[in-house]
Amino acid sequence: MQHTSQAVMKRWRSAAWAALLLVFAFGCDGGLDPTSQPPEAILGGRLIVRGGTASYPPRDSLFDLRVVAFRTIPRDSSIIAAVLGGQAYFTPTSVLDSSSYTITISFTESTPDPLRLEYIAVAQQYGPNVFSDWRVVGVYAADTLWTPRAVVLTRGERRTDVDITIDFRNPPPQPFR
Amino acid sequence: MRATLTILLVAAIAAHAQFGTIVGTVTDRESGEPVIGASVRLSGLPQGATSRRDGSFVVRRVPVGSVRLIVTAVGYHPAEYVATVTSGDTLRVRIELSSESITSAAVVVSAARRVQSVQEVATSVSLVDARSIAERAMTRLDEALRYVPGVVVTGSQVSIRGSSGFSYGLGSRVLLLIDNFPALSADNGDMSFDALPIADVERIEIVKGAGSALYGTSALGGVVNVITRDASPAPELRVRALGGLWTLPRFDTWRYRDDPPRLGAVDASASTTLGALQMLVAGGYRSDDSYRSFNDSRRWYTFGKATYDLGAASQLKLIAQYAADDRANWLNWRSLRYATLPPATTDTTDRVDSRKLLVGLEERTIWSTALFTTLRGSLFRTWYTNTIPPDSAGHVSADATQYTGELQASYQATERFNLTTGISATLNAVESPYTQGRRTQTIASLYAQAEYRFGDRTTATLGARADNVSTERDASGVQLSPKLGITYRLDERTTLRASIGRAFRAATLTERYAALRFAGFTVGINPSLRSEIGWSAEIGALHTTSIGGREWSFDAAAFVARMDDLIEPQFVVDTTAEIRFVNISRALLPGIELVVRGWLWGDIVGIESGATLMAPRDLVENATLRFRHNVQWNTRVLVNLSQRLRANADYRFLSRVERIDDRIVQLGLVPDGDKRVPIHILDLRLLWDVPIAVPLRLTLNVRNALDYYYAEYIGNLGPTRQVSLQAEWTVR
Repeated sequence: MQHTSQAVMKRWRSAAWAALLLVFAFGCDGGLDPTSQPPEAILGGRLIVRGGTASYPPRDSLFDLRVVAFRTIPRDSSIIAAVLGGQAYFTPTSVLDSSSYTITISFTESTPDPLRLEYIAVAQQYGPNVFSDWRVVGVYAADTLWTPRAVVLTRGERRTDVDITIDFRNPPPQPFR
Repeated sequence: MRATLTILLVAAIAAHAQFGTIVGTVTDRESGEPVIGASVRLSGLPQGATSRRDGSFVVRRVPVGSVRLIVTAVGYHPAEYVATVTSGDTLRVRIELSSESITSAAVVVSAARRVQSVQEVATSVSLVDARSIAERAMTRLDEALRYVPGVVVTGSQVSIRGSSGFSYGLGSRVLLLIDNFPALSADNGDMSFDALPIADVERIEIVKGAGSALYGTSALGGVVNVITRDASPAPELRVRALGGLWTLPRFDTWRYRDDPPRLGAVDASASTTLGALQMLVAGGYRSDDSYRSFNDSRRWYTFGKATYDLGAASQLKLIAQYAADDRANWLNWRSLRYATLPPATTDTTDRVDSRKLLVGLEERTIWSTALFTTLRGSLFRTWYTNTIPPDSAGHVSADATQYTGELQASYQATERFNLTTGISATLNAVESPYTQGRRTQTIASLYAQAEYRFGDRTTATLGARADNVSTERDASGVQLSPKLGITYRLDERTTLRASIGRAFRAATLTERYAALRFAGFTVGINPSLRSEIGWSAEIGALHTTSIGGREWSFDAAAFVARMDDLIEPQFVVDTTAEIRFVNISRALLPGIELVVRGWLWGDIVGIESGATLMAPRDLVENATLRFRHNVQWNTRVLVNLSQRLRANADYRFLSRVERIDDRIVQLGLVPDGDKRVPIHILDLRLLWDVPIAVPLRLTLNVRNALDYYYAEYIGNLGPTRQVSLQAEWTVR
């Protein structure tokens, strides 16, 4: 009887050791954590269309409409390339028919903090080429002459007052060469 | 090819067939009790039998001379038995099996298209047996593959030794077979694991490395063959019921509902043998609310398998399977902050109705003591549609069918020389709005593999397959896939192996002809896509030894694969800007793998551990290959607490994916898509054989017990902690 009891004890002791080993050997942090991720910066504001929806260009020349925030004033219309290169941030979906916008900017290791956004514009994709067929139809401006106004964001900051006027008929000067 | 077959058939018919019979019993070595349902197979030959309720079996039409019996049974260590059969005589044998909780069946059929023991195979092979599937309380077969060394499953996409990255399952570089019938969809070339009869799987064979020399397209990284069980020799009913829940996540923003989401499954199968007819019918239903919102699913399936002996020398086998799946159309998370919610723009009323039908018919004929043939035909149809009406934006639907036909001959010319050869034809057809109507692809193939045994120690295998792929009647050329393998039995306990082979994957109809809008971008067609090709080589050793009176096995391998013309979606800028599938990547995938199995502290604690270390390189970008885990480590621990109570645990580690496609994140397609961590998953379970008249086993299963959170692939939170209770009854 004693022998049986010892064997059972041995089994349970082994199980306990195995369980402890597992917990200690494989114990780890909890993995992904939405609360510990680096705070993102939020850029947003209202979109005012001068002339209302009646001023919209024909749909066959309005493939897409995005708000794009550039770190430097763009020199060509390859917005996608600028986004891919980490030099610009844009709204994840079209802002056509929207009266406001929000851009979420994730601060990665290569993102300067504070982040200066030199040129914030509304861009219209007027042709089928998603890489080059873009023109600016609105700019976050300091005055009525469309003088670009920069915004500086820090990690975790929310700026929701960056309102932009869109004018399809009389667009601002194109920064692109 | 045709000439070869004719010669073989004539030779066979001319030969005077001489057969004997083996009758015997299979018993438990320790208790002396009969072992029911043990599989008795003849090495290299199609004949076999399953032990009856009293442990007895009969194998008829056994060629005269020396034959090797391989006997396997769930829960027992495999046994081999060499018998000498004389013409017209009946040989009586008694086979004793030793119980073993950590082992895998020693028999495989996928590596050489014939029955072999693992030691005879020149490439790395892993097995998942019925017991480990049942004990892990799985509801989908892809879950079983996650525990296999060198195999990574992301979603329903299987990668063997880094063969695939991440493509939502499109264009699998691993071939899936069910009972040797191909089961990759005809349009996307993807796997449909929800269609498989999980409760009736006998084992899953995973052959690693280039497999095109025998199987043709898609076997670039390897072959997964799901072998369903044979009907029981006596009436048998099996029922499995599982109920469980997903525990609520730690973070408030991830709790999409107040109460824990539930899941449940029920499977039942009945089988019997009526004279020459063996029948098995099965069905199942599973329902899962999911740990994510808008990711719930309801699935059901039916499965049938019938085998009929057409006389002593011929056998007919029919399998049929139908599965239906109604699920929400989850793609990716809204953001890490809301990882259990879909993007805000998602139409949450949209559901996908997906169906699969597999019908396979196989006829095996033994023509002589040396020759047998297998004639095989199958149909695999997949069709799906979402609930958005046709002609509306967002509607998706496709109807795809794969037809295959194959004739295989195996010729045992001498005791040392075996030849396996065959011809096959495949037709893939898809009809879908996104392919602008019906598209077809045909593949005509022939293959041969010769195996020669030099002395008692060395076996060499040389084979090749030629596949002529033609898409929309546009022939893209012949793919020639040779393979060379050698095994060397160093001693009774050690076998060395080496192999090298070429493989390919023909571009799927979807990759060539899909034209649709996806996340604001246009996906364009590319009919001129070339096949992906690759070479893989490995050297390995399998060693068994006795430590403390218990058997331990060690399997080590070093491998390398070189792949060219890999197909990936790319932004293409010319007259229009769109995403197209193009042949873009070249990759080098070297690595090492070690698998250890054995027992600690007598028969109390068993351990099975496998690690794979890889250094995958993208040769075009001279950087780490995207979407690959460089380190994988799986460990399983079994503890026998008492005769009826057992505990076991599985731990899986995958290192953090070093590189992903940053464009997906930068373009805002998947917010926080770059968030990823190493993966640590610990599963715990307690099994209790309830001491009542009807055999009943209860399994308490806690998966992801640490509730560890990780991204399984871009923007997709992996399964969180799940607690379930499973009950299994077997009535004979």
